[in-house]
Amino acid sequence: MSPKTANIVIVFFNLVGFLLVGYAINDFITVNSAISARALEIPYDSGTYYLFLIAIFWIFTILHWSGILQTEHKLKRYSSTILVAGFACLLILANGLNYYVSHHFESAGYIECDDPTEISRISKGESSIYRLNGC
Amino acid sequence: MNAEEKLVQELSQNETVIQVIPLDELQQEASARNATVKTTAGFVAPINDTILAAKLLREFGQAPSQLVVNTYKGKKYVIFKGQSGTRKIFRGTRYLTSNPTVVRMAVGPRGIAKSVKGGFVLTVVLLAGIEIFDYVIKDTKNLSKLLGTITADVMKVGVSSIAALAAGLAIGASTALGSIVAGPLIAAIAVGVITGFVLDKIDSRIGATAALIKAYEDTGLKLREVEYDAARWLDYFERNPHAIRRLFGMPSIFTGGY
Repeated sequence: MSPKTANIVIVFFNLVGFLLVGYAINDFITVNSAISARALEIPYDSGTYYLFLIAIFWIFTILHWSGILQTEHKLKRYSSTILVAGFACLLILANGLNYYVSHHFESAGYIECDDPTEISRISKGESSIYRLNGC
Repeated sequence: MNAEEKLVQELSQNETVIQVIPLDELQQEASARNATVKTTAGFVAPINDTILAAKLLREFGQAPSQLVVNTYKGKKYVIFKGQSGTRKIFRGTRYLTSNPTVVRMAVGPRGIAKSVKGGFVLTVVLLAGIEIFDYVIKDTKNLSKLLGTITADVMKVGVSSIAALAAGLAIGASTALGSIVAGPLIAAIAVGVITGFVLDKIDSRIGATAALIKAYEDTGLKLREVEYDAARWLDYFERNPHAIRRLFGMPSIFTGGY
């Protein structure tokens, strides 16, 4: 892959990142509002917050544009550590939000039911429908 | 040692423990754990990549090493800048991109491609294995469902792997970001996981797996119709052998009616 194509792909993932992170934030707000409003049925996917992982491309971009990767920069030696720490933070965020929402559902008295539309799944998480009146 | 003790010893030497589990219990356990096991199988490749990334970080640590992919005399090389003495695996400074150690550690374009390809094969084998086990123990699962699910899974894992490869190669090929040794692997893990999720969402929204299962069911029905037609015609020719002559003989216009 040529550097020019590589940059196009990186810019693409950066832009897609806004959409995916926006979707994850919107889902978090929607689900929490529905719990507060005591909706009878709330669809929830425990894998949604892994969309935050796309923000790793923002960390790449920050590293690039801040000049940290320049040979003479004193933080250059920590670039790998910054990247891994960022990735770990995103993973913690995804799992933490998932834990928070699941706990919120349980404390509000919702019961987790299977989502019949999901037949096969390869990614982390589970699609469920939380119901107030049982499955 | 008396005879009784001897008998006990002989029996314990030839002891074989067989655990018999009722099918109902096995089916219940499989149903309860199927989703978790499948998800875990989907995560085997990213976990492998994470272990590899950790190895790379251990190898290069905090040392200000830099990785550059350059072409000399038509051959691509991975060049490690920095203190080679502090490294344990890559003690040299220049390796061909096809070097087995470079490929094994998922460094350089070939290494990333090999890592993604390995992850794809491993995930597909595990997912197919889980589905086949489910098919074997459950009476409710038919062949169309098995084939439909496996086809959908293979397609989703394939697309995720391609996206992960593109992300990994892009970071590796970028002049600035390519110097972060574990960068391509981390990008590939993130994109692979996210693409898998997005494809799962699209699948449940448009019902691609359900459509595939239905297509396989329809194909099965058509095959059964063909089988039935063939049996009907064979039966007809057995009862009317003269009809075979009509099939291969001259048209009646030339034979005068027969």
